[in-house]
Amino acid sequence: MIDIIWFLLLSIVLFSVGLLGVITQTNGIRILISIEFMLNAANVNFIAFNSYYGLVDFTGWSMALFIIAIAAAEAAIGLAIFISVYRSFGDITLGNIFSLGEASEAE
Amino acid sequence: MAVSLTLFFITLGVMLIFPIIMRFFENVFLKMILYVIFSGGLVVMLGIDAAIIAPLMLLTVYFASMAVADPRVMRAAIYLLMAMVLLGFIYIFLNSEILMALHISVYGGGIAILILFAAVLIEENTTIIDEQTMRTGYLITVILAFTMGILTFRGRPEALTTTTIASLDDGFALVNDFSVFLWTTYNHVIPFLAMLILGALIGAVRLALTDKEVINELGVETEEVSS
Amino acid sequence: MTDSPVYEPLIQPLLSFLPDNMIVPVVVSITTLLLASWIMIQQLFGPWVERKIMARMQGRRGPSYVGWKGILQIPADLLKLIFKEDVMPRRADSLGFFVSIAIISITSIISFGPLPWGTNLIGANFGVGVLYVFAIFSLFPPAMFIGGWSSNSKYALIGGFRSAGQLLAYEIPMFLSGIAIIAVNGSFSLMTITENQMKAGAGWNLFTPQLGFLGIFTGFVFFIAGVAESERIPFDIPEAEAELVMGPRTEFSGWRYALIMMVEYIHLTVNSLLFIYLFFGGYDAIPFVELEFERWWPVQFIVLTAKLYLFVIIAAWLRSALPRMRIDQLLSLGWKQLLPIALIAAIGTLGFISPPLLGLPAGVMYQWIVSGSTFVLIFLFMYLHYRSTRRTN
Repeated sequence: MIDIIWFLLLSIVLFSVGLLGVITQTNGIRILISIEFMLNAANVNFIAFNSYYGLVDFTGWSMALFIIAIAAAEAAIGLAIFISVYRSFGDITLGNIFSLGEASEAE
Repeated sequence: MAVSLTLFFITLGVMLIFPIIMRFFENVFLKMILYVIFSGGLVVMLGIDAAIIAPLMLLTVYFASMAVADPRVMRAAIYLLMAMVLLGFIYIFLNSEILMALHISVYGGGIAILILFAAVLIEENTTIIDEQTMRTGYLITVILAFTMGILTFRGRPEALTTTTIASLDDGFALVNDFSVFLWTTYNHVIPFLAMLILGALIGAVRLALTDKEVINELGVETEEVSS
Repeated sequence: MTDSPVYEPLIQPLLSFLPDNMIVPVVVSITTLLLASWIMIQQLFGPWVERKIMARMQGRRGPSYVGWKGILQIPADLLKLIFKEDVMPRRADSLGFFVSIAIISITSIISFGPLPWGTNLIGANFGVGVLYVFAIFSLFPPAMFIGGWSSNSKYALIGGFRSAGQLLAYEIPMFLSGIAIIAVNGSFSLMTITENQMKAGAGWNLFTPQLGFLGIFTGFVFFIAGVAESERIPFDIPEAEAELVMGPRTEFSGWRYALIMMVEYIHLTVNSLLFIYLFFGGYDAIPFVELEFERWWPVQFIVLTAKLYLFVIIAAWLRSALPRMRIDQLLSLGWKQLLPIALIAAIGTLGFISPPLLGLPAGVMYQWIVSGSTFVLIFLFMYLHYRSTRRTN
């Protein structure tokens, strides 16, 4: 018998980790990885609430299923974009990718 | 609820301290006996569900944070794979084996291998993140996590049903009910979802097959940017 | 759970001193462990059978020194490999080097859970059954890829790329053809699928007229994909010796090598078992009839083991008879031929579902029209594909 608070804490920690990654990282693939963690935090919550507050209707599980499908589509198209960007710019650091304007002041 | 929370934090503390305690013992047999006593104590104290799920959750969180923190992208992808697999096994404890299977086959088999391929194909140059961004990131994350924690603790209603792995036998009925629900209440969403995935597939193939010259024709100048 | 044959001797004594919420986990673990150890024992003698048969086909003797006619060759090799030095290349990625082995060995062993060995003689008869096995199997390509990348060797890296590509290409037709059978039976449980094939008048799915003989196509695709999934000789591109030494396994030695070779045979075993359950009658002894002795669980156990060895022999036959394919031939076979055939056959098989889909009329006439048109479509596709390839060559 596990209290639901365990799963909610797991969801909070996963979301925070993903958020930290999205804010601080500059590599495109890492940002994608972080976004996957944030989506999965939402997934854990959906599934946990659906399992604990009645198994008569399955809205939470359906939402989790849709999120999984959307995450798959997002990862496929995102990585294709990153590879395409890498082939034309030779770099995947999001701060260095621009085709208009000057180089950033940090250089 | 208070008892369960206390148990939760005691478990966390013991599991963090235990490896440090084990360093003081040299004898292998003594170590094995201590491990057995430790795991048996966890099972007796928390029940088998919690004793299995606490290490799973800790490992998931560890792998997730390593996936964000590790300096090599390839290793981050490996950690992502492991975190996703463990997260899938956590879903069993929520009685949703069907979502476990879907999660593992999509994240473990699909997304993880996409990210692994991309991480190998792209030459990595590690960028140093400046202190300012780091501090802002940590600040925002800590504040948000704190807020979410307070909201979760104060705002959740009492649970109506409880789940254990002892209810493994109901699996067929649950899967059946879930699929019936999915194909009656949400049957108008499924075709759109299929179209979305098909579009993403075609778009990804189209993008991957695009030549460099085509990208240059679109107005992107390659040579000047390489700094 | 109380219907299980191991209930009386094994589970009954446990119930007295187990707390309520621990009964199911403990019972599931014990039963799975027993059945898994039976499969692991097969790993020690299955390769010997295969090597003997291959040797006979090629006019050799095969292993003949250790034990009676060399039957202890594989355990001896295993013992030797376990005691060898564990070598890791310099600058190899230690995490990936460990994780790939861990993932492939753990996943191949925990996939034994939902495989039944007789009526109710099953580790865990839980809600997703065969889908769980498919999900666990889909972890194999990333693990092989990680193993190839982390060895810090160009042969291993190229082998890892090829292995991941090949496994991905053959997973999808395999799942598709399996899903057709699952949809018709209306259950993920391998036990239910087998029991449906055991009924009087019901043949095995591979050649039953109740599926309009469409099981031939789905079964064919499933079998080919299963052989390709276990990376055996017609499809062993990832470890083509002349080009890539041992593919992604090049740098593994000692117990890691022993585990990897064992996992390869376990894959062959589990793929054969899945084919047997889905298409070849499971533990049913004789098709189309229902006899009393078929219900006795030792008979079912022996029948399933015999069928497993039949498939080991077929795999050995393929391995000694066929040459290796090129990587482009292999990928085009997977994506351009097996996938469309599996898709057409799976859609055709859905015509035999009950109740019928989309309000279509049920009845024998309608089902034979579905079956016939599927046959015509598949042969048309194969003819068109043959013509297009002949023109380019």
